[in-house]
Amino acid sequence: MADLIEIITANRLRDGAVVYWKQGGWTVTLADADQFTDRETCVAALTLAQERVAAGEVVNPYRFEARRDNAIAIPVKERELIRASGPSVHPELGKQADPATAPKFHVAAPAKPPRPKQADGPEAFDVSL
Amino acid sequence: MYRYDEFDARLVSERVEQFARQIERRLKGELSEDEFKPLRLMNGLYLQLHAYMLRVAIPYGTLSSRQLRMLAHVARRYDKGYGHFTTRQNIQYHWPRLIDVPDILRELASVQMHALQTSGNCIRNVTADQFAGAVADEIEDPRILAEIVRQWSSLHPEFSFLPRKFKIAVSGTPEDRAAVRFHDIGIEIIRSASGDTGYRIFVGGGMGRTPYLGLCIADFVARDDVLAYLEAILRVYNMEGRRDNIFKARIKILVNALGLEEMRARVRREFEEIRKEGSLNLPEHEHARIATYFAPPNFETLPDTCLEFETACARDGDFAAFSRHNLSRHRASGYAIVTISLKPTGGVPGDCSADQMDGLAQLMDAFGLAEIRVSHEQNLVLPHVRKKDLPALHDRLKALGLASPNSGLASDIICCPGLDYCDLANARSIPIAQELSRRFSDLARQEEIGELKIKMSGCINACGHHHAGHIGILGVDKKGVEFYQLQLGGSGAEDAAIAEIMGPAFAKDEIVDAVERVIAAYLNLRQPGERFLDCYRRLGLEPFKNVAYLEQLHAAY
Amino acid sequence: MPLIRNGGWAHDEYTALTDQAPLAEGPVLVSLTRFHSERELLLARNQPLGVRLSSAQSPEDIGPGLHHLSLVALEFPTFRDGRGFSWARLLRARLGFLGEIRAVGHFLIDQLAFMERCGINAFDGDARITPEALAAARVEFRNVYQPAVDSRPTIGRLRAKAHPVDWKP
Repeated sequence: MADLIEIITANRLRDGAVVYWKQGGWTVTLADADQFTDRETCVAALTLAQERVAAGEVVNPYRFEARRDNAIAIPVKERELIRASGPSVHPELGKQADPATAPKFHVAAPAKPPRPKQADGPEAFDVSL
Repeated sequence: MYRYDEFDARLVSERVEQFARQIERRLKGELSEDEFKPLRLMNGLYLQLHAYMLRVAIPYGTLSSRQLRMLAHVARRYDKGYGHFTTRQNIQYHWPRLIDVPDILRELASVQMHALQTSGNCIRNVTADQFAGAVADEIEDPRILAEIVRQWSSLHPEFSFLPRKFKIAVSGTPEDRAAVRFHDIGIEIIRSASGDTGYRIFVGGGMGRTPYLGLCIADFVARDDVLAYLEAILRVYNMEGRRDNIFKARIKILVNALGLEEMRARVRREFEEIRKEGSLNLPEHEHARIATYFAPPNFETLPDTCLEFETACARDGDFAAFSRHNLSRHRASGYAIVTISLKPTGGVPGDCSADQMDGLAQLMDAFGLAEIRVSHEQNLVLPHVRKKDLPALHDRLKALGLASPNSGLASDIICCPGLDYCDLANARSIPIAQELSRRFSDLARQEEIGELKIKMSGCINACGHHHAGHIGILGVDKKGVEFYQLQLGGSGAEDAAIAEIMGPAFAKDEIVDAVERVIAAYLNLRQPGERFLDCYRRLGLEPFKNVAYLEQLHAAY
Repeated sequence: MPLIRNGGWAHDEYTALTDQAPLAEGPVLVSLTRFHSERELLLARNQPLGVRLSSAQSPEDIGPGLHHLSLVALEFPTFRDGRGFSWARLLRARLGFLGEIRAVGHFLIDQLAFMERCGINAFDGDARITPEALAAARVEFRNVYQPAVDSRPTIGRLRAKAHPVDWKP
């Protein structure tokens, strides 16, 4: 049974890249992000993260929910799945294209099996929950 | 096409340098993100899901081969090798870095292009009919007025901080390819009974959360009064438009709240005052000066029947199909307007690779084509092609992967970037469009269906014009999961209408089937020669609704 | 508060009064409400008088007393609220107001040139709004497309001058 955790994310100011909070700094890889198990610690970290806006590091930090499955964070919402990976219609672009930044959850079994006719091509990203 | 003189060129360059300084101030912390955001938006720069997005204007949709090559260069050097043509005659780059944006804008300025006012609460890039200057029944080339309005609206001292964005479109023909009634101001060029050219002005159209069709606020505005009249509308809007609620800030809400009569009276009053001041009267020589830039090329005298063309049609089935759907009647005999579909089967609607852009630029030069156009339907258009060149041109388009013979058919889908890129989106739109285009990829089937405009948006902001789709699809978010609403009966053409919502949204794996069932019902119900839209108008929502929810009905019993 | 008037730092001689505060000696700045309720009294003082308009108040609401005022202050509650640009133009172009038009509140140096073009000639903003910033803003763009209440020739005019052959008034 997966437990719910929270992750802090933002976009880097100078290039817009998606980044995640990691031990007082930022990482571009979701797999390396701090996983918060209690709300209080997360909110405290978010306050720190928000101070980095004025410092010109990032834009708009916020927290989002993820399921933790064997230590791998899988975002609950489609939006965060896509931010963590890249455009689902361009598997060759974004974080998913680079093994160093690619999320590790593509192996996660979707809640319901994809329909055969959607299984071809770029639709393979389908991570319906 | 329009060429900058020293004044236009200097202003655009100064704007680039101003924005470069603003970026510098932001990076140094002298501007907060809240302050920087509206400034960057007014220079076309968004922050999306994965990266920044730069929206570059293609004023009134016209590009030279040199400019197209520059778009390819920017895509290659600063982005990931492609661009996305939008429903408002812009191109979007989805991956630029903030620190590179000044250089990108400098490169664009070197070919008289810019990203001025492609976003933000200001007067946006003015759009026009993509067939301007090429169709037969045109009263005046709409790009003349669009360029006049571009200049008037660029860095307008009074109207750069409006309650909300402001979009203007111009059409020069009774047929409307610019969706004028879906704009904050829509302008239809008309001729009065006495033979004068002037403008019919619609106000308060728009899509988004509360769609409205623009209402006719002025039947005829004389040519030299047009800027004064536009200024009057904008002033009333700037003074009276709501600023307390972003969802009620567009001019359509003001027009609706005041009523058309009251709105007209207020605009009239401002108009009289502005006209008294006199400085906005557009001198005839300025109109004439700009008109010369849009003078049509010297068309050769050619017979309308062209042997090379007829032979190719008979010999080559692909060419014949392309000719059936992607050619439009040109005003000059022996010429055709060519629509280049950016909707290949399973592709991303509106996307174009740098290689394709370069290939098109080469093709333009090879065939002596000075201009290429961008349509609000996210396609490209070669406005003046000799019919005898068509077979060779088609071959080259085919080699570039740009010969999809589906213009105006079911797979010619308008589609916004959706949740694959967009920060505002609630659901993905591209995968649905791709699946639809695969489902309807068979040309014979599309031809049997006939004219069908499917338009799809990933959120209520309606960049994908779903309100104006014969079939409109709207992505919605239900607790983080994507769902899709179906709407029927919209039109962005001269028979403009807002599509009607069918009912509860469909799941991601149901929506394409539902569309297919709706289309199957149309094929059963239509009268001979009846378009989908006309069939819907005759029968209403009910018969389509019944089949669309069929599976849910079966599931319920 | 620091005030910029006609391009340089200036002493603000106006006392800003709340609606309840007793009348002060010398020049005062009052709300539109107070101006209407105490109009006779305020005008009879024969002292410089200013009226402060919220961004929702049109200068046309000042009424016939406008020409007895020496100052109209336009509030910019946030720099995104652009109504003040229209109010300033109305004041200058339509109502013929010749006194000081002062922007107060939150605005950016990136707006100063637009404000001046619309007729605002005094600025009471945050610490970034300095005479140097104003001077820099004025020269960011050499030319302008639109006529406004300043006397800058538009690009249309300059074109006509630069290419007199085409110039057929």
